[in-house]
Amino acid sequence: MNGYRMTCTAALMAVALAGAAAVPVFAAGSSDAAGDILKRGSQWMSVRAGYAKVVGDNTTSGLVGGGFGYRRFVLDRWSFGGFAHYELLGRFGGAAEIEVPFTLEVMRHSRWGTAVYPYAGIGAGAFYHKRYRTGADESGFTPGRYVAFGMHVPVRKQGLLGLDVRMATVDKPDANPAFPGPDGDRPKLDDLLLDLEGPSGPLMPLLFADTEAKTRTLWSVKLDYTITY
Amino acid sequence: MSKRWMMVVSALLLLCVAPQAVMAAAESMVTVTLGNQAPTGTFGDVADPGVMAGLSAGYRVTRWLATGVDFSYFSSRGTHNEDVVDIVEPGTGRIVTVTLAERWSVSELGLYAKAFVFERGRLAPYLRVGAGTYSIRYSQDVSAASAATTLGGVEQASKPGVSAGAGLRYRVVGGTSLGFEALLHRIYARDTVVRLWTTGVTVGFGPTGN
Repeated sequence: MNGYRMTCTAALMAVALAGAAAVPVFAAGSSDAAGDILKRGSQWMSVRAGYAKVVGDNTTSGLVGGGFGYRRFVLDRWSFGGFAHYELLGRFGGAAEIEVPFTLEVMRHSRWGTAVYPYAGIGAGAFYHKRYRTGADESGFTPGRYVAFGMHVPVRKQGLLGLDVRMATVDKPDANPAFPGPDGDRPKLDDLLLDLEGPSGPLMPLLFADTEAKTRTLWSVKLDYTITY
Repeated sequence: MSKRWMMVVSALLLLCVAPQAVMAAAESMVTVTLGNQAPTGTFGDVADPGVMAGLSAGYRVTRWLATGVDFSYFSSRGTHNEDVVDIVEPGTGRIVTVTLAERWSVSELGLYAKAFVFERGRLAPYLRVGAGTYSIRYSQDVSAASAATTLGGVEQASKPGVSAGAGLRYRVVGGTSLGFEALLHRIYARDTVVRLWTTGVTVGFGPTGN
């Protein structure tokens, strides 16, 4: 399952990057005229809100998320930016699961025709994770990485309205009374790094029927409003 | 100092005082790296040397500084791979003799910076540092067993890490270059630091005329 996800992620990223980099037929002839907003030195400030969900079996229902961020074009059509999001991934009764990603990203932007600005890229950062009112509340940071793509259209002078889609891969939290997950008592990777040093034998750490993926995918689809300057 | 060392020192001095390369700033380049990786320290006790592949896309901000993003993948067998072990099957309590199949893999996504030093003509030595997220994956399976067993599983965790090293780039023609790069990666796990060396041959592609 994890390999399948990795394959899907790689394929999606390749398609998204190709889509952002390529100039479609209807935009032929305009590729040399990237708008000023895609020029080196341009800065974008964005706010966004929309849908967020965990992908996988027995996961919580998708709910809402929002965020804000800043991008600066370090090259024509290439931006480097930082974003913070707050995503309520789901609720079971009174229990809630929240993810707060703080990320850096590199995006490739393009222009289709005169009024569509697609983009795609990759990012990584620290994902703060919190479960509360579960009976076994927990929180903490874990590194995560993602692919993202989307597009903007101008709606006013220096104002863009867009759609942002991102798919992040992060560690899957252990099961607790409210939310499913891998058994928390299993030997984890941090344990294996030390405990496997010894000789082979019945006392070495052994994994029995422990094939459940230890990572999970977070999807989000958000409306984005950006001010350029 | 022997004659050979005198020649080496003389060559290095020449590189220092020679006019700077004509390579301009503002070049972009995609680099593919293929090579091997060698776990060291405590990680060397649980993983064997293996292979690595990397892909990076970078931009030369100034004459001496380049920066970009990179993705790398390292893979190796575990030190217990092919070991024959008697285990107790949890469900039945029976003793089963198995041949272990172990594999470690690490994937990295991060940012890097290269500082070019003593660049001369087509030759560009550089120092490189980077930081990113590392996903470490361990899989355990059996390649042979005396009876049915449920032994097998996967563990995975993402960790922050840094890398540092040096490389050498030689511009072949146009925007194409060949080179060599060696990096030390430090990955910060909960109770230990995972360290591994990677060495590889690099092939760079960039717009002609860089």
